[in-house]
Amino acid sequence: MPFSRRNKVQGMIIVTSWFIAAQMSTASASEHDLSRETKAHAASAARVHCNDNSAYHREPDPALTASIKSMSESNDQSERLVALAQLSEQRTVDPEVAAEILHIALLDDDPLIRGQAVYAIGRRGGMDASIVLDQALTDQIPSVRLMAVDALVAGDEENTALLRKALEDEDAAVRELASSKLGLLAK
Amino acid sequence: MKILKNKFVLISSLLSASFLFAGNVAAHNQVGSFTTGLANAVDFYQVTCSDDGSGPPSYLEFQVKDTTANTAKVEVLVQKGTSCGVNACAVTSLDTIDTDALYSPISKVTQGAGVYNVFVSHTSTGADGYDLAFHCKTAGNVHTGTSIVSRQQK
Repeated sequence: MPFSRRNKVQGMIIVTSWFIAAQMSTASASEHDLSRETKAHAASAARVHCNDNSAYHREPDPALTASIKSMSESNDQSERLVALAQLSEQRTVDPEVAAEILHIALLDDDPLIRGQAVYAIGRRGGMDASIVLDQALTDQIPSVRLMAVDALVAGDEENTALLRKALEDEDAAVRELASSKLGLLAK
Repeated sequence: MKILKNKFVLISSLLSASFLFAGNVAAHNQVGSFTTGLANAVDFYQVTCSDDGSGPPSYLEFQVKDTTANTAKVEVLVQKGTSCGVNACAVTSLDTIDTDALYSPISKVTQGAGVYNVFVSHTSTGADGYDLAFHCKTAGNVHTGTSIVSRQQK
């Protein structure tokens, strides 16, 4: 049974813990007047658990999973980026391994790695994807925020709200992409 | 003693071979990213092809790798001169798959020695990085003098 009731319960607990941690870190940040970067790091320090529902309907490919895991642990930044890029489209990677890789990447100091992880999480979907994207929209680095907007698929209420939030961004490209996505939605 | 001597000869030969190989295959890559991320962002370079002793340049060979997996795809356009007859004076190469480590198809502009204009752009707004590979070559496909200057970063 690839996606048992126990997994669902675990997922709910993790997301709840994540939400509480995010709330606490936000409150703490405002109390101590932390910089925007510190807030983003505090928010991303919470546990990410990707529930890629479509992945559960397919058998994980052990060879592909091992290959992506190995690349994600490389010292070569370009290899790590390719691993994360693969996760944004490969549905046959073991979901637990994918979640672990993405969790680590979200905490990376390199904004390219962080941005690619945000995009992969957004593309894979799941119950906590919108929380991660929401947090990523407060990242200090514009390219990470841009990747978050890029991963948003216009359609549901939650995504539309995030796109509207991005319209207020200080970076022109983030605003441009959000505006473009909302424009597509209106067609 | 004889074994040691043989080992020395073998290592020396391998080192010499590796230096010769490195000399023949010059790596010409330009790594960059669109600093604004805007859809109309264009990075502009100029590549000069010259005879470095390997022979007179015939063409500039190029390809690009989109290093960011997202909606936007990275494209390179190379142009030289206005003699756009038999040999095209402007050619593009687009990396349609950005989730792999592969480059776009190899393209070339055959306009001899001189300065080639190289424009790197992307298909839509996004945080895109790229790795541009370029080589000036002779009519006999031998690598020859290649240099690059950045003119605009957007």
